[in-house]
Amino acid sequence: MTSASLRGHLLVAIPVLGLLLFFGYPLVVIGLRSFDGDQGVTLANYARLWTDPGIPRAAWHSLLMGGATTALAVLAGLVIATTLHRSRVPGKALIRGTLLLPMLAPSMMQGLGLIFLLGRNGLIHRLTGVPTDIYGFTGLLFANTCYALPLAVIVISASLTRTDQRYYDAAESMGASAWRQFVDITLPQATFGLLSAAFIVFTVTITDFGNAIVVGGDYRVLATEIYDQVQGQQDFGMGATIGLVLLLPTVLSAYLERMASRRGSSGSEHALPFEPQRHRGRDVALSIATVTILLPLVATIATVVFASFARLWPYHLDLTLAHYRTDLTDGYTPIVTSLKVSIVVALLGTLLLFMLAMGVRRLPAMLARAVYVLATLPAAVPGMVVGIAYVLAFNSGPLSPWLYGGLSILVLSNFYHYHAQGFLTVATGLRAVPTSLEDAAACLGGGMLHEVRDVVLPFAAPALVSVFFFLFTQSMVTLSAVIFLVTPELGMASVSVMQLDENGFVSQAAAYSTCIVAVVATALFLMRLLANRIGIHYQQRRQQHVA
Amino acid sequence: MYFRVADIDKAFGSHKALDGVGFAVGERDFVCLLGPSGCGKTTLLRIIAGLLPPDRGTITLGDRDITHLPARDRGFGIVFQSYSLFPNMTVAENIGYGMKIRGAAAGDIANRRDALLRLVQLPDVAGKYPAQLSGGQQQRVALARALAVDPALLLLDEPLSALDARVREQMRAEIHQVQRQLGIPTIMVTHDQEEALTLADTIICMNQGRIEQAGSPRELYLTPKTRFVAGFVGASNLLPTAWLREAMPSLLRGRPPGPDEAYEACIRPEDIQLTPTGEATVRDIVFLGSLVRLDVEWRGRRLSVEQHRSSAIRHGDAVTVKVADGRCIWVTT
Repeated sequence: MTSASLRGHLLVAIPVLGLLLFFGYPLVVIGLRSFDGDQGVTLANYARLWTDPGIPRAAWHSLLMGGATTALAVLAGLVIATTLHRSRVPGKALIRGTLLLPMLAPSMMQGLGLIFLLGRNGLIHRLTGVPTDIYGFTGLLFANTCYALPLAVIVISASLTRTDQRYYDAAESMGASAWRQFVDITLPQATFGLLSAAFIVFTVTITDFGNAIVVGGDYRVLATEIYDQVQGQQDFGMGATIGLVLLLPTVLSAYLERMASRRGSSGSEHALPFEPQRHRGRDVALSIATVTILLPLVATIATVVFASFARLWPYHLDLTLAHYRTDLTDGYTPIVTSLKVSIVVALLGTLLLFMLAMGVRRLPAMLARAVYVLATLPAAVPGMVVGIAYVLAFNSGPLSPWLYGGLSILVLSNFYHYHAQGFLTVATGLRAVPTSLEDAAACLGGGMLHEVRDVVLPFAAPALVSVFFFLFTQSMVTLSAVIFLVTPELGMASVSVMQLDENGFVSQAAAYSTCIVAVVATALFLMRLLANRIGIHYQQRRQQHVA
Repeated sequence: MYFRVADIDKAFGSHKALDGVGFAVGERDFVCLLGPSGCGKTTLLRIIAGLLPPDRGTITLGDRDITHLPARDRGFGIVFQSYSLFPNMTVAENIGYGMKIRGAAAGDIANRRDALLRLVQLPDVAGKYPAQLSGGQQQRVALARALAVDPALLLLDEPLSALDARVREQMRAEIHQVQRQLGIPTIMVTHDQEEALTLADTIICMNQGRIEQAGSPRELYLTPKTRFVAGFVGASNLLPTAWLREAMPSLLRGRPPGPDEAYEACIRPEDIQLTPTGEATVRDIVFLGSLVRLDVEWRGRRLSVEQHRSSAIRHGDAVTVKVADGRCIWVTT
């Protein structure tokens, strides 16, 4: 083996070892635990799935909720993606910015906003006297749709940007109307994007926990069942079992999603980018639809922010900072903890993912496929399952002295929870690197360092930056994995919001959410500024060379 | 010989891309790997460059075995069909890249770069980015970049395929001139037989992972050994033994012994002579400038014939077909 290929294998070995230890191993532990009873191995937990009064119903609710949210979010996502890529509607930057909102906010923030507006004592009831009750199916559907919409838009948009302008030119010259072009060209091109979006939205919805616990009310889903079993009744065996049940649809959905995205990835290298023509009717219709869809997104978040400053929502709307004096014993330290965790996740994660994606390209095909499957497997594992698995695997056992109750367990759980999405982004980014350029660098005598610096990074840098931001924001706002891992001494910001809400301090929960959004937005802004600085620095160097 | 590959095998899964391929390149030779797409020529070039390991076989440069040497240590120059200039570097940086990696002084790099830019007739583009250049200009810069490191061997992977017809001819002449001037041993991959005929000292004609025939352009054109070479290099009429026995029995005299199916006659269109009146009929005439190509029907077969444009034969004429002396070559089927 030459030294170069040895280095290549090391590149893969470290991230793969991490995956096996901090993703594979806990998953095995949770699997074993589900068969664990008072008298050795048993199927009792699985038998209880059927006999328990609540679980079959919760499973049915999860499926129904997943299906309804998927239909709604994909339809709305298609409308917005069409607006972004097939129209001349102005203010596209604003639309993109608005879509970022749900990603910056803790997942229960939409739920909170809904309750403030449409709850039994919501603003609408207060103003109109109409009795409102958002708890339950409708409220949850609404909150989930808001939460999943940005994902749907991103995936569908990706499939729309690949279409070649020349298809539309051909259709135009044959006399096809704008609607015909949409039905005959845009939709077929987007089919696999729509499928991918559907599977992703479905998975996110049935595994989401924040909205379910805030607005679900009596409409119980699997995620809330798991939480009750583990946190309420301390029955980890049953929690693990339900978690594994939740794995079934998500694994299936992740598998189908992969099939769909593989079928859809036939973009032409020499495609002419699409340039939409002027069409008033289309643009007006899409503008109205987009505003209608995005308004609730803005309204819920804005309401939470507003409510956090109101003396007694919705009765006394005069402004006060009282709710920012939080009753939590550890005050705002959880936000600092979240920040620390998120920055480490983003740094470490981006590095490990880059190593893995680089290294996997040099492996023999069989091995590469195996690594690929392992790296994308976390997509199918709900955050709550990751959380329980970590508790079971690392609270006791050989690694617990290093991990239990520390920052590292929060970092690891968050990174491996979002490993698949991050890996796919980096791998796609690396695919943009032309192989012949790498060959050219190698033939000119460049080593691995040259290759990375002069060929790979210029092409893959955007993907790496976006993975960094993705890992950072997700770690800041996620609830599902860390909810089981925080300790009274070491809390995370999103968990604090939930605790405040559960204890009835709704306005304080709003204030805390607002702080999180503000911190995430500021951090993103500063990092963006830094990234631009670096970009400009590179550009200046280039121009100096020109001069 | 200066550079030699021997007994190269390469398989992708169950597909045998290369099967026992070997040839040699002299110190100033221009060798063309010619063949249809999928014949293994690009795989072979990548193996020569060190970008792909062979399953079996050896590669030697001088007396040195370089079979397992990584690409970056071979010191070869390579030019790709897709130009493959680093888009984030200027023309100057692109050309200087290999020298910089080797730790050359800035002054030397600048001198060499300017000389090469003059050589490829682009003296004024040093500060531009690849995206600001035309395809032909980018390919010239790519050539200069490959030459900058004084390559022991220059590898060209279909360098002209992405260019417009006119630019392609111009570039072809330029590559020829530069190669002759610098005397760098060169291996070029192409599927264009005209390119191979005009540029190469030696053509290696490949088909399905094997070498069909290797030789000078003249040899390959005048004495093809196999049906594939006869059909791929230049135009030809390939005629079965049984038909020829009826139509022109005198041509069978030069035929090697063997069953009817073993050999076919290859007759080039310009080696067929037509005289007025006879049992053959002219079905079509295509004007090619200095030549006309005629489609002649005779005894149930169509023959392709080339004549000078001054030929008096017209569409629909009855003619007699004759083959110039010694111009019937027998090839294996």
